[in-house]
Amino acid sequence: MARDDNDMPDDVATLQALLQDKIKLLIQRERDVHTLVRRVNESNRWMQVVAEISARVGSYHDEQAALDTLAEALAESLGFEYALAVWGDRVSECPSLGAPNGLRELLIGLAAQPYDAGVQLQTWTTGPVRMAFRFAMQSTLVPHESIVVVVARSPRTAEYHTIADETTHARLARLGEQLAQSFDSVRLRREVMRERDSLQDAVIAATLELRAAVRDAESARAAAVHAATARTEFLANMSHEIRTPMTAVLGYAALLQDADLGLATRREYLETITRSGRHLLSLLDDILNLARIESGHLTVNAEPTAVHSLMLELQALLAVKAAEKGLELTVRFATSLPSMMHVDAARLRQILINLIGNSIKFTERGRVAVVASMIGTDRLKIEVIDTGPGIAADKQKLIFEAFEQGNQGMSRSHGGAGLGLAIARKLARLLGGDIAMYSQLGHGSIFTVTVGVAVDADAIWTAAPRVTNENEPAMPIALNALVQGRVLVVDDTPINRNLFSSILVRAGLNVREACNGKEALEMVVAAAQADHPFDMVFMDMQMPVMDGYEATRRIRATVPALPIIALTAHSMAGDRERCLDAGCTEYLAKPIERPELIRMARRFSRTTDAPAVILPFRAPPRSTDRLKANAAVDESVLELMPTFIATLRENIVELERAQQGHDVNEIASIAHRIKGTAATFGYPSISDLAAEVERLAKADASPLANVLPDLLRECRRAV
Amino acid sequence: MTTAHPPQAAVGISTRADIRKAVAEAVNRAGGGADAVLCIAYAGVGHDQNELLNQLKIALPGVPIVGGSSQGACVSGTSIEAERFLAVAVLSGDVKVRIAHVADMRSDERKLGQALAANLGPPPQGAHTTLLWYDPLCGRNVKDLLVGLSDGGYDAVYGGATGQPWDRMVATFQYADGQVYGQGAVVVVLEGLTPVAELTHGAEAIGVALTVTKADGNTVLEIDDRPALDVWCEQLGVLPERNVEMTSNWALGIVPPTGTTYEGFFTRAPFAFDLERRALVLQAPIPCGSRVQVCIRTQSAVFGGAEAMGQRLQAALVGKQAVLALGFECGARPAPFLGGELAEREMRQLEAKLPPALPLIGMYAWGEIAPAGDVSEFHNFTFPMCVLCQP
Repeated sequence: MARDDNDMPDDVATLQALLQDKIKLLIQRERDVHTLVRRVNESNRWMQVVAEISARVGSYHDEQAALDTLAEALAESLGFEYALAVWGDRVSECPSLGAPNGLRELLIGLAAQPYDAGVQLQTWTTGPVRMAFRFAMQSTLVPHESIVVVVARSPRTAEYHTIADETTHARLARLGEQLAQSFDSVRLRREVMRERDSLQDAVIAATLELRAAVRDAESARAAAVHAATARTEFLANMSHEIRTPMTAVLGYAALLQDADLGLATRREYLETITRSGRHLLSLLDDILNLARIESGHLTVNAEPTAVHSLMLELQALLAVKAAEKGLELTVRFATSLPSMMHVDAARLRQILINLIGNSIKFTERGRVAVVASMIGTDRLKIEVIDTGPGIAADKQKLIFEAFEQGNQGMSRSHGGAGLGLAIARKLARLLGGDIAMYSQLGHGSIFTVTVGVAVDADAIWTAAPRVTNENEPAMPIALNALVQGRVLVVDDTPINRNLFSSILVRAGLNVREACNGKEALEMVVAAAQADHPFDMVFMDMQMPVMDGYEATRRIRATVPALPIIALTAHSMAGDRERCLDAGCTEYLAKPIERPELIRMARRFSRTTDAPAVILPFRAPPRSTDRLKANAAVDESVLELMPTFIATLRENIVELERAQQGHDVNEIASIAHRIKGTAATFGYPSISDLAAEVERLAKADASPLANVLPDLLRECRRAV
Repeated sequence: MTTAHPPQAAVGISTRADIRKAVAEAVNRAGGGADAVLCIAYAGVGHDQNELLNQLKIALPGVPIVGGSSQGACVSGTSIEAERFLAVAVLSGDVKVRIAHVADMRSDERKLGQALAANLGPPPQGAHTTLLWYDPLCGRNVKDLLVGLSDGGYDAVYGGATGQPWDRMVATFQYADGQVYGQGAVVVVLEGLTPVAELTHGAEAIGVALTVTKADGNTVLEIDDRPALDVWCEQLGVLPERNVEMTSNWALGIVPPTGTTYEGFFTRAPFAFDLERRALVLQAPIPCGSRVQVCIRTQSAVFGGAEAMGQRLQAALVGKQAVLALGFECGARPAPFLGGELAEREMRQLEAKLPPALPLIGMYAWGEIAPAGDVSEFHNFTFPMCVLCQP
């Protein structure tokens, strides 16, 4: 059978068409499969990305790190070289950028610059990237909790893309929601951690505070215990300090009742009693001083002071004590000093006597050196350096406390109530300074006192004198030189007249006395007319009938060249000028020490070339000869002590009478007399109280009623 | 002239780390300090300076202490460069001491010099010697300080800049008035002692002659109309930002003024480099128009110069009663340049020319002061030696 050729083409064509359709279908199916596979793969990758991002976000504590990771993961999943992800942050209300490492900072910096800043940019930061980034970083264009992939570069086409297909947008939106939840949980966790940290901090702080409080309480308790112990020790010490001289007083007083005693023995016993009494008084003075400072009753009286002289005077005063122990006492001026500076000389002297005295007291061999210098123009620094036993580090703070000594054993062997340094430091602080200490146990100590001073602009600064030494003392001081001349001592207080006369007579002077200015004027004029004039007059300035100011003015009119030395219990600033304005040649403030009086007398005496005993600035060999020379100070005072006591007794009666009669003028007058004599006879606390009473009485001030009984009580205790 | 208590001196050194022991050892070696009128002290900055001074004050109560920190010291044949050392010279006898100091040098240097002179008072009529120590790190013009002192009558000054170890500059210290200062200057006048002094510089000129064309105080701004730092680096073949700090071997030499007897150039070593202004900062000025030449320190120049200086001193001391030799040797001469055995060799070589058993104390200074001609001059790389003699 034969085939019909005409049928075949039709079949073939149909078959071909069918085949083509099949092939197309297959191709389409394959494409669909490919698309499906791609989508599945993409979806899988996306899920992996999501899972990875979730894991990473969860492991990051800060959103920025999570966003940067997201940007990297997106680029990877979308097959881009890199991608920038902008996250619409609903918390900060500002889009946050996730970007590959380093790109973020660069883009943020670039975004802040004008577009054509002329900056050399790399390709991926040029044109479209930067524009897209700037566009996306506008917060209004990025919805909250959404992610916008700003731009990405395809490695295949090297073109920049933004993500435009809906699937990706939908996925990114879902991812944004997940991310928001993750961020929320991260933030929550962070909040919790912050809260926990804060609580921990609070607990730690509270614990520390509690520990500090416990420590404070412990140290307060220890301080209280220590204070109680110190006071107990102080009382024990005081008891010892008081009982020892009291035993001497009572014992020798009993011995004096023996009528058979010779004059020399009686004198010796009386001297012992007096010495013991003075020691007791110094203890009381210390205690009163401390009490006055602590109650704020002590005032500072800055007056023009020649610190050079004050230092050398102190050296002269204390060289005897140093010499007694075979110690050198040197004074040096390390810098130039103004010839005069305003400072409370009395308080400064008190501080230095304490420090230098202490150094001498505790140093057994070697040297005590005092070095003065100025710091700038308003601070005076004085170092007291000794080669004593030093003070242990743990005692160094304590020794400035009242009732403390470096070593309780020291108080037994060296005496003292342990108040001196406490007083000295308080005084130094009162003078605008302080006392510091450096000490090396077994080697020595340095006490450095600084005080505030005022120096006049036109003050003369004297260059630092050379180191004083034995061969060339800076200012030789003659204590027992014979002085010649006729002297008139004018004072309304008999005891002062007697004391000054006694000292001057012993120095070799011919002394006459007057009890007020009028009498002095008459005597001076008469002596001048008789061609037998006085060589000098020591004139008290406050006296009845005619005071020293008036008397001086009148004497000047008759005998212009006669040296008149003002003696006054005033030590207020300006008193010296008042005296000099009245015509006085010089000025001495009470209490007046014997060396000062003799030095002044020598200065104005006719002959001053009598052999003088020079008090050396270095310690002389151990000898008591020179001590005896200075002992005359005590001798004169001691001789007149009974008179002083008797006078004070009278003053008490007069004062009580004036108090009852509310006679403030009389009270002021009596207080003035007490002020001068008490200071001279070693009762500074009475003198200070008397000065206060005088001041209040003159002002007729109400606090007088409070202070007057104090003065009376102190006077009664003294007698 | 022989006096009742002729001036005497003794020296001591200690390298103990414990300050108390160091002080005790140095002072004991210096005779204990009895009757002392002055203590010159040099110490390493490794010691607590305040503690050191307090210990010295206790060991020598009331004795003025002057001097300062130093890179090192030499005491009678011993040369030491260490973090912790103490060298002292204790003077006693008929010597009057005047001391003045400024706590802070950072103001008008000439006025400071005048103030120091005023504090010292008028210069003594008789024999005297003036010594100076100062802080070099505050970058001040020391020459003007010397001019200020000269205004006050103190023409011939010997001394040195206080120092620290040869390392990064941190701080130096000066001692005066029982205190330690960090930026101060101390002047001491010793009445009753006359100086017999010589100096040697130890550097040789190299390179071409140059001219300083612009300067601002102690800063050289331009040399031959070009930035001074560039010229400096070009001459030495270094790069400003990389290794200019390694040029401490070199200095600028200046031709001394006409009539000045001197063995070569005055030397000024750059103390700092101002990279911003491309300038050289010195401790004393080089005036505009000055001819300068780069100098380099060499061992032959150091040893040769020291030998020659010793011979000159030997001749000058004939018939004199020498009391104490004070050396102010530049800190650039010992380690890392000489140092150790070589530094001691130089010192022994010099001591051999001095009277036997003459106490000697020297510091390694960061700037030296000694008169050249009639005026006090600032130097670098030098070694002035001042022998204090009875008049």
